[in-house]
Formats: sequence, structure tokens, C-alpha cells
Amino acid sequence: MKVTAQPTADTLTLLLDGELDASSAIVLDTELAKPDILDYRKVLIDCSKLSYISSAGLGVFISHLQRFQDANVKLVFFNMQEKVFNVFEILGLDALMTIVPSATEAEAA
Amino acid sequence: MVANIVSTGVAAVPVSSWLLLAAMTGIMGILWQLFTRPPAQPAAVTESPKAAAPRHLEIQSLQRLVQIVQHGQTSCEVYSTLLESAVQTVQADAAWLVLLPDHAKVDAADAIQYYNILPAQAEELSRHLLAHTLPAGEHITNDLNLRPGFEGSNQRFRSLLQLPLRGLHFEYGILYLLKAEPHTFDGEDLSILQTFTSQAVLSIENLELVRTSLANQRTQEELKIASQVQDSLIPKNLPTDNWFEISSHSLAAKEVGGDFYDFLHLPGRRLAVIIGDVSGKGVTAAFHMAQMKGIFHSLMQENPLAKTERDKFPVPSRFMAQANTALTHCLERSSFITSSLYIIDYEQGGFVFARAGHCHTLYYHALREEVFYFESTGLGLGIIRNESYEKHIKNQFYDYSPGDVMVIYTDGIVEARGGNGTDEYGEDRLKLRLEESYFQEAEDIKSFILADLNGFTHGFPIHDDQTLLVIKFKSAQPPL
Repeated sequence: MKVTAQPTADTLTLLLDGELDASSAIVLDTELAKPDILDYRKVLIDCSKLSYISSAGLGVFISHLQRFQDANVKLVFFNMQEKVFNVFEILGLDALMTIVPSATEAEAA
Repeated sequence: MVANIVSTGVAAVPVSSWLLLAAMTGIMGILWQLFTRPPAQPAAVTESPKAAAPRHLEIQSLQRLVQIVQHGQTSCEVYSTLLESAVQTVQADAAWLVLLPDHAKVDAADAIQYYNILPAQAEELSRHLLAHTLPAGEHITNDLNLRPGFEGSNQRFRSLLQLPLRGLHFEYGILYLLKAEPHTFDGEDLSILQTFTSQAVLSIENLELVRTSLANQRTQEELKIASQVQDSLIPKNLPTDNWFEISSHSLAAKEVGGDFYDFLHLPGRRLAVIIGDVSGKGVTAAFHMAQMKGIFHSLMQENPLAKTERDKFPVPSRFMAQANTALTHCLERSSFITSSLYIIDYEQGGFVFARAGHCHTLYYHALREEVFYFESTGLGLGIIRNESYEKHIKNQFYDYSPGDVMVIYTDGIVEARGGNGTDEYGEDRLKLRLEESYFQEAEDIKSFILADLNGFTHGFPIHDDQTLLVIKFKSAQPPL
């Protein structure tokens, strides 16, 4: 999986490309664990090219969730494929995380 | 005990064959040297008994080296035999062996071995040799008193033979041999000693290989035990009663897994059924699986202070909230557990369940002749680690009728891959199979689904643990 970071003034967009499993989870974790990520107001996760997410992948987001909330950084997912959304939904994460259909809504969120 | 016996028994074959190979290589080299070697003193016209003596000693040394190959248990033993054999073969007056502990696989305390020389003397000589840059590698000094840096020092030993112990990747150490008389070492000595040192290095490397292989075998054995222990945590005797049938299947992707399920009879013809899936696979997941089983059995204890019969055991949502609290301190931050708990009540003809992020329950409703998934919300365990978790978990009540079928499973079933390798088995296909088999016995429904699943995943390794439970409700037969 490839993680591409697109920073703007107050927003960081991370484009996830490929399958997020135990091996690629480390790449994403490194990206989310950077201390200066908390300087952004919002972190948008572009899931348009995310074809699969395993429990290890979900674990990365879960482990950073509290840290983002404490720092008042909004974490927003968008462009999520149905199959990936189902995984979030079954686990109950849709009630806990902001998941919106498109980039426009993500920016507005 | 059993594990030890097994591992030693299995290891015996490769160990002896390596050693045999090593011994053969060494023996061939030494034999070649012995039989092509001219008499030790070329000046002598006839071979005197004196000249024959070293050859006798060489054969003894050879025997000793072969012995160490066959019986040498520690690297230290190999080195001391090397030193001893080298001294005897070239009839050295003194010797010492300096080893690099990391590569030579010896303790720092055993890093230098001496023969007939005091450590201080050896150290002083070493220092001197280093200071006066003796070329690295094998080397013979005919007269130390003539060497730069040693001039006029009146050394007790005049001849020096220096030989590194070289392995495939590292140098293990350096062997120094000394004789009192000058000009007493020759190329032949060097050559035969090289065979000895290579033999010793080979033995050391073999010992290391054996050690690694034994360690691997031990790990395998331990995993096998872990697998057996885990297997014992999975209920073997499914609960039986005349009002339901249960059939179960579980398969771990590795030796141990993170799926679990369990049952508990509660008073008043009630049955608690739990299923769960720890995120991740392997040993870590297995530990949490065992923990979850413990939590299930400790929380499902009768509360003697309960005011009503119904409050004696926690309702599923309360159970999940308590389990979430229990897991807070022992689950690493990126791990979570999904679980569903069902309490089936035959007296009431219904069940209550809570879904903590676990796969949706598949259900066949006999009166409506309809198969569907329960759509309910609920958050996985360990995701929110505070009191607010309870807001994210709900109980769902349902009345069942005889003939209804409940299919409970883990994501290893619906996410099993087949087809082109990215296709998943999926909820839809699982639902179709129940539509085709609901009228059968629980055991046959399970087999039917598994056969279809195996057909779908044929040729693909299972990448996640799989658990499948089929519960069929029946009209209770009056007890005989």
C-alpha cells in the first residue's frame, strides 16, 4: 500500500492506495504517529483507492483515535468503497468516526 | 518431557548427518596431507624412528579431532581439543589461542586458552606482535630474536607459527604456536594445522547450526503445545437438550488463533452462547482469546445479591460493557475484540443478544420462511476504553419458533478468499446456502456451508481463523 500525504495550510490529506493489512499498517502508523500531524486542524483520509482493510489496518486508526480527539484534530474519512465501509460499519466505527461520501463534504466537515 | 524427547529424536537425523559430513571433509583433507607429506626432516636419507613419531602423533590428533566432531558438545571443547592437537602435532613447546567471543561462540572468560605459557607472557608477546605489525593471516617466524621490534630481546621461544581460524563469514580467532629452537616450523606444519583449524571452525559452525535448529524445533514443539492447550479451551462437548441442536466448526489459520466460542448452561433452561474474534492472528491473539474465555466464565456467574431471577446473570449489553472494562488494561492499544453474546431462554421461547462489532447473525425464520441478517449496531471491545462504551452497545430481543436456524460465525468465513484471489466468500453467498439448507439438521447445515466454502477457497491458503456455529431450535420433546 502507498500513503501519499498532501498538506495544505490547516488540512492534511492522506491518500491510501492499495490494501491496508498487517504489513502495510506500519506505513500508515508511522504517518499518523508523527507529532506534527497534531498541528493540523483536520486530517482527511482519502479512501478512494483503498481496496481492503484488515483488522490490523483498523487497529491503526483505533489506536490514534483518542490522541486525535484529545488534540482536537478532526479525522475524516471520505470516498470509501462500499466493501471497506462495511468493515467500519460492522465494527461499529461508523458511529465513532466521521465518514463522508466525498471530498467536498470532507472539506466542509 | 514429551516435547523434549520428540525434539531430540527428530533432530538426531540432521545433526548426525551434518557432523558426518563435517568429519568426512576434515578426514579427507588430513589423510591427503598425511599420505602426501614427505618425512618431517627432508635431510634424513632413511626414515628414522624420530621422524615416524610425529606421524604417529598426527594420527592420534586426527583421531582426537574426529572424536570432537562426533562428541564435541560445546565450542569450548572444540577449541581446547584444537589447541591440544595442534601442540602435539607440531610438537610445540608452548601455545595460546585467542578467540573473538562473539563469533567464536564462547564466553568471554574462555576467550583465551593457554598451553605451557603464562597469560602475562602470551599477552606481552601478542602486544609485541601487534605493535610490530605482523602481517595478518597465517605466518611463520623463524627466529623471533631477528624480528623487527624483538631484536636482542632474547626470547625464550624463537619460532612462532600464527594461524587464524577462519569461518565462512568471520574470523573466529588466532592460534599461536611457539618452539624454543629457531627455524623449527615449516610449510608442512602450517598446512596440516590449517586443516585442523578449518576442521575446528567447521565443527563450531555445525554446533551453531544444530543449536539454531534445536531452538527452531523447540519453538515448533512449544507452538504445538500451545495449539493443544488452545484446543482444550474450545468446547468439545456441545450442550445438548431436546429444544435445540448445535453444530460447530473452528479452524485456525496458524497453530493458534484468535477465534473463540463457548457455551454455558444457565438455570431455568437458559443457554449462554458466546462467539468472538480477537484482532490479529497467532500467539498474541491466542492469549487474548484465552483471556476472553476467562472473562466470559467469570462474568457469567450468578450474582447472589440480585433482586430478581432475571438479574442474576448480566444481560448481554451489560456483559459487553464489563468485558470492555476488563480488557482495557490488558489489550494493546491497536487491538480489539469483536464478540456476540446470546442468552437463549427456552421457557420464554426467545433470546436476547448484543453484538460488539461482531459479524451480523444470519437467521432463518421458519414461520415467515425467510433468511435474513440481524441488523443491529454495536461497537467492538477495546475501541473505547472508558465508561462511555456502554452507550455503544445494545440488547436485541427476539422470539424464536421451532425450526428457526441461527448461524453465528467469524469474519474468517465471509472474508475467505477464492476465485481470482481477491473475491471474498461474502455474506450474500452464506445467506444463499442457508436458504438452500435450513430444513436440514444443524450438523448437515454446517457441513453444507463448509463444503461450499471449501469449494470456493480451493487452492487458497486460509488467511484468517474460521469459526462457524449453527443452532437450530426445535419443538421440545417431553422428557421420557
